[in-house]
Amino acid sequence: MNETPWATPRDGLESPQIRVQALSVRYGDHAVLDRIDLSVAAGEVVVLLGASGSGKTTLLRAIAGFTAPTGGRIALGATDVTRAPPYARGLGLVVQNYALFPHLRVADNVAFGLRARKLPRAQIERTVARFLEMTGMAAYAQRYPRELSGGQQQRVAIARALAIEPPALLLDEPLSALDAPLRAEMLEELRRLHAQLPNTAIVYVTHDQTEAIAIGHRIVLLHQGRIVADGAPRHLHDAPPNRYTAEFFGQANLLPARILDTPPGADGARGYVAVRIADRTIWARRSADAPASGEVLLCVRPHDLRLDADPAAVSEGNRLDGVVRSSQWLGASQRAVVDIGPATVRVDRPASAPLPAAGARVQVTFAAERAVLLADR
Amino acid sequence: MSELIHSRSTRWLLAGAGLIVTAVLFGLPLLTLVLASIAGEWTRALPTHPTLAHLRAALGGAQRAALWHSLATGVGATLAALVLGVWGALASRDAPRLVRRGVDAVFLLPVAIPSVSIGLALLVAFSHPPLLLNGTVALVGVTHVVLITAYAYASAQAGIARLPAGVEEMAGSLGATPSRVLVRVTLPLLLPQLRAAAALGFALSMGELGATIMIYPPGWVTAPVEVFSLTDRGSLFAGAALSVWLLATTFGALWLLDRRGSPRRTALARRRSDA
Ligand SMILES: Nc1ncnc2c1ncn2[C@@H]1O[C@H](COP(=O)(O)OP(=O)(O)OP(=O)(O)O)[C@@H](O)[C@H]1O
Ligand SMILES: [Mg+2]
Repeated sequence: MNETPWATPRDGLESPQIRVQALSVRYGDHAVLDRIDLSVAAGEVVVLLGASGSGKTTLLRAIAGFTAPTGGRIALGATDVTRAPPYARGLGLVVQNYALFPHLRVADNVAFGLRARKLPRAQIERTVARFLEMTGMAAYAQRYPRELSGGQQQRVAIARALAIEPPALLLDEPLSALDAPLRAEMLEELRRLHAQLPNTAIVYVTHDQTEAIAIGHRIVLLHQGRIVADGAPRHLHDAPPNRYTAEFFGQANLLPARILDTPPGADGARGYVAVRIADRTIWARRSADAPASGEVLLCVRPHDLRLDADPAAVSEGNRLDGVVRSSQWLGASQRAVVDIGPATVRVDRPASAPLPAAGARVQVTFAAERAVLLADR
Repeated sequence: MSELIHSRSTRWLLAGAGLIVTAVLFGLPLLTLVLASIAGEWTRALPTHPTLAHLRAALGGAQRAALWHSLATGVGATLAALVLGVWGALASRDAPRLVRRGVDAVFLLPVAIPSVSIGLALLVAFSHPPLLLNGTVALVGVTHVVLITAYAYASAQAGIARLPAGVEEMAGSLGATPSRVLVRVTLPLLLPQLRAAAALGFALSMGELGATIMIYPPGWVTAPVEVFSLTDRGSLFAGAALSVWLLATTFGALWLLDRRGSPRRTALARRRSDA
């Protein structure tokens, strides 16, 4: 799913490009960020994912130097910048509304950071031309921002941030103002740009998990000011460390289950654990921090479930008895909602399958390796 | 279609009414002034014996000096008021609400007080060492600054409230120090408001009489003061002639300001020179 065939981070023998340690930001009693630890290596793309209000922007602004932390430290490379003003940090920043300078032409927007560094004229011109070229905006150098479309403004914002050749680029929902096709195109573009600047660390804020999967080497999930998950997209998807991650990331089905004391059968030897759900024995993997006994949650993705109307046809794997509550055709796929005892699961199936009727008795089946057990918290 | 005609005719009607009101309120006094400035005699409904003598006389001697004093005071006071007003607005923008209210009051109060009272107050305030400014040109300048800073302050405040979100922070993150952000981003973006404030402040200063008459030194008679004393002495036509020149000077200066300061024009001019 995320075989990122593009620039991968250099393995961090040197100090990480960005290191955030125990960072807290409070407004009065309200902890917006609560002891955040985060490292981003050179060339790594870390996505900060989280619901609205989870603190993503605040974390980015703290790294950029606009929000003073109430606790903790921030280092860039080997330098502690916790108290440094934004202009001394040298980070590239791209925000949702682009914040282009409306009184400056495109070329002057891109040159802004270079002029602030008092670089020689010729060098500024060369660099501006290079980054306008790289972002496909060379033809628009003499335009004013108001004379550009949203996507073009976004490119200029990215060119401006990259022109100062920052060790790290911070992007706060850079694509959220664009429509879906343009967003996909710009994502592709960003990946291409990153391949050309393989040492630039990127912190990319979004609340869109498709975007997160598409661009992130690593996803950091924020919830109420804390990091609740940190790992490769694939890993978080297949083995979410906790309930929030499972639900937020990929809309997993979660079924209450009880671990059986003496797992009968041979599957236990292969690392699987038996649990009891609605009078059936189900085999599943156990996530690292799930308990060894007692109540747990079984997590299984909608597209990993199958429906079968004929119980006799099901021979292998896990199976649960259910009643179809509703079903809907969604174009590329169809979704059925099935009641299993007291719980309800979503099942995604190919669009070509017959649409099950509401009220029909079905068997919900799935492979043990697609199911994972989580702590119920 | 009928709606279009309807709305178009309504628009014409409104425009016509506006034109008439403007003509009566503003044009008529102006016309009277201009006619008086070229009148040889004015005993009937309209002046007779037209002459350029008054206008010519107003460009010499004490009247010419008065025009110059007004221009110098206007330019100086406008610049000072801009600096003060912008500084006040920038300094108070992130201040707590109460502090900002206080600054608002200090800057805006002079507008609400009769200018004669302002003149009197300044006269008393600056009549003791070490702030002894009585009878100096500086006091005229101070008075005008006090009177017109309110407009610069209010305009700058309005401009700051309308600054596009995040551009100043962005400039900072690109490596610009706070002073560079001010000069390269904040002030250029406030330019339209500052130009409007400068125009208004300058025009007010050029026409200021109430406070100036309380505090002007003998060597720095401004044009409005001169107009007042001319008409007081019964030289109505001479007063009118000086008024016309004052008006012309003010409009000339405002026109220059408009030409020099307009970003759209400079951009256009640059584009033309590019081609
Ligand atoms: N200046 C402030 N004063 C008080 N509370 C603030 C301030 N700035 C942010 N917050 C609070 O901090 C929390 C996190 O805000 P933040 O903007 O970081 O969220 P976010 O994850 O970026 O959300 P979104 O996806 O909606 O952009 C919110 O509850 C917000 O109300
Ligand atoms: Mg945000």
